[in-house]
Amino acid sequence: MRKLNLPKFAQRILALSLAIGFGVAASSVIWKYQQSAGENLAVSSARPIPTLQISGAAPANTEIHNTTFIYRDNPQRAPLAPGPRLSFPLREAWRSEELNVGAHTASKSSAAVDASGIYVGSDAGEFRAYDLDGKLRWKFAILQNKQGFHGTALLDEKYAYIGAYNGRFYKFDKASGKVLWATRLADAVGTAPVRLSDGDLIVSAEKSYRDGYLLRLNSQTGAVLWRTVGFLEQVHSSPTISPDERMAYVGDNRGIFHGVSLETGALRWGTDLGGAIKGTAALQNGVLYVNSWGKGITQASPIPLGDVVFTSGQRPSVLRGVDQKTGAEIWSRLVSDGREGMASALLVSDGKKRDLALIQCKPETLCAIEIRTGKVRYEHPVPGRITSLPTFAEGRIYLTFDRGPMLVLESAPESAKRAKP
Amino acid sequence: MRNKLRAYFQGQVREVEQDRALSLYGVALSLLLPLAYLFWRESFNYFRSDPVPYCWPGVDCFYHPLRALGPDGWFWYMLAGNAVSFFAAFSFWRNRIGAALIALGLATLLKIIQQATSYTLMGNYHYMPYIITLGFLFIPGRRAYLPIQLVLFYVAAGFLKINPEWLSGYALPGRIPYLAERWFRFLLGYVIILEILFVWGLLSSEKKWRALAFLQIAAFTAVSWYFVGSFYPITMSLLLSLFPLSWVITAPARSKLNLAAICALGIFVGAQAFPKAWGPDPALHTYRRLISLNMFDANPICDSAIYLRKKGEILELDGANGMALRLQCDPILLVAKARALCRELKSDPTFINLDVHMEARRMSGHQFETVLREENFCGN
Repeated sequence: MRKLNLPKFAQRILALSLAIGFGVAASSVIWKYQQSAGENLAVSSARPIPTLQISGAAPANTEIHNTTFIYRDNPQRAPLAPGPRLSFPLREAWRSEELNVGAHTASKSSAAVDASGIYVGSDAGEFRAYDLDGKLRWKFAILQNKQGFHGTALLDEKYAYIGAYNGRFYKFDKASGKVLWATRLADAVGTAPVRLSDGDLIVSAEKSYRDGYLLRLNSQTGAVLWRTVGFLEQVHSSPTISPDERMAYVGDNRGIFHGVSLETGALRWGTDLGGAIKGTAALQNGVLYVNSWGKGITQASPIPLGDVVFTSGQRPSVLRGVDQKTGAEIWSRLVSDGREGMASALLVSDGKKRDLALIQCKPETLCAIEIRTGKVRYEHPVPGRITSLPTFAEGRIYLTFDRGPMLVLESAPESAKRAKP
Repeated sequence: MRNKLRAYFQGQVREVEQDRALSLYGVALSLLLPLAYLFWRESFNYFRSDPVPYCWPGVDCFYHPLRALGPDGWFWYMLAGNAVSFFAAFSFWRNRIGAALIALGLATLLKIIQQATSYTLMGNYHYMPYIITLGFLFIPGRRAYLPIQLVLFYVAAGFLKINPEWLSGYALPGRIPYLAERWFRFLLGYVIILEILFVWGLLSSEKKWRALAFLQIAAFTAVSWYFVGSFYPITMSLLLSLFPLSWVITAPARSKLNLAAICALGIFVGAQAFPKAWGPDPALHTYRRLISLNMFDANPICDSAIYLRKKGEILELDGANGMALRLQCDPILLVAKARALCRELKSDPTFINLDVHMEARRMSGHQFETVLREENFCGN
């Protein structure tokens, strides 16, 4: 190879040119990289979320099991009238060891019950499975727990699905308690999921700083299919689904009630209700019924029943029946100055075909209140404040409290104290 | 054989003895060790509160002799290590090179023994001093070898930073105050050019290029203080002190790269290149970079858990709980935690087994990778 004999100044110019050329080339590559990096790393609504695949579930929704329990009976969260038949008086069937310790003021997990047993979360960081006779079958515990489980599980024939305040959403094998997958959705998941007909799950989740969103998950793998943009506040309410499965509805702590496309997760509309929305909306006959803190603290989920809507509030605790068309109050009953009214009511019917709301109407008292008139038809003492939704299943009532055990009540043949109208 | 070893040792002593720059550099290297003990002081408080050992891969540290010493034993051990280090520094200063080299070797060994007690004591700020110290102790032609090795540290670090996380600034935990974001990103790109290209100026025979390169590296080291604290910049400053020393103090004889130095440099380059060249991402699968540099490059996002299965219950341990930021997504640590649990729970009659899981991605990554998934971990 011939050696180039260039004068010194030419060598310097050549060296300088090469250096400049390299510098320009490197800068443009780096600049391009930085631009694409910025785009990739910009906050987007579909950022990947980790799923701990515990037992290697199949990638597609090939197995879909029937839902056997969902919070408030159906994806529209509107109890169907008449409610399940319940004979009064009631008596205690059994109670568990202490379930909730009062770790957090949020509503507690309601018992999810089907023919296989009872599945309930605790604010002490446990998710427990009981046989119907009260025997503990298994329990799952989060060791670095801060506030445990507050949401209510969804059940199908084989599995239980529930989120926790560590931000993870779990799928459990109901028989053994084995965790099939765990997906960290956010900083806390404290609501009740809903399941679509294709098996996908819709869950609301929240961040410890003020943000929250709705997510769609593959129930077989736990993979997040989409996540809405942040709502800029926490989400304490569970999603409600339209009958045609095209829309989901959920409220946030800013007081914005959102309509979300179930196909894409895009926000279709938002309505300001003037105060935090912490309860779950009920959808009936094309009408959404939802409470907010806009005028007083009202967060329980309403029960629409024909021409009357039953609802409750806290601070003070007041139970109300309001006109479905006008919203005018038909009746009201003051419970206390406290938080008894934060729980939602269970719709049941008695032997006289009356629609009754099972809810706390006095401190440490469970009442059956006639929804249309507000009359207390029955009372039963309970060992604490109910902040969850009572569950009716397999002929029994399942109650969890702000602190204390899970209490199971059943119909008793003997007569008991009847409430004075 | 003994004669050869004696001649070799005397050759090393002679080389350092005759070159004041090297003996002063020995002082700097000796001071790295008390600095490390100071840095580890906080870790020892951690040991007191959580005695679970997080062992290095392949090392059974549960019965490490130092763990049996207890908190007071730690203190006396550190004191002994510091004493040997200061003795080495003093000996280098007084040009008692034979004793100095032995003391420096002993102090380094004491540090390695201590570091072997826990994987949480890992870090580049130990990796680089080890390489330089071992090179200083054993490889002749120090004036030729050590500067090249120091430059290669920066070159390797520069290549590590060519990724979206670094270039966009997401790899770093903070920002330089009052500096606009676009200038900050410009500096991030500049750092790569500095580390890959400009750093070679340190080896130039011309004073102006050496000074220019050194000033830039010094400024970079100073600015890094804001992000990584004091220990790392002070360590690098001591390591880089060879350059001004060798520029100011003339070498007694020209130093050449010999076969040992070339092999050492080759091994270093290979150790950096191998994990990046093929196989899964070493930033996530950290086993693959045990013998190479790691930086604020990937800032991985992960989720990890250990599921303890007992009769009638399953317990979930968050994998990252209690870990420093740099280690939260390190699967080596998760495995160490799981091993410690297996040992601790072996005698529990209700214990069945445990499962270990970790998923991670780079911040710019679109998919999470299963970094670790092992069921029935105990007994594997």
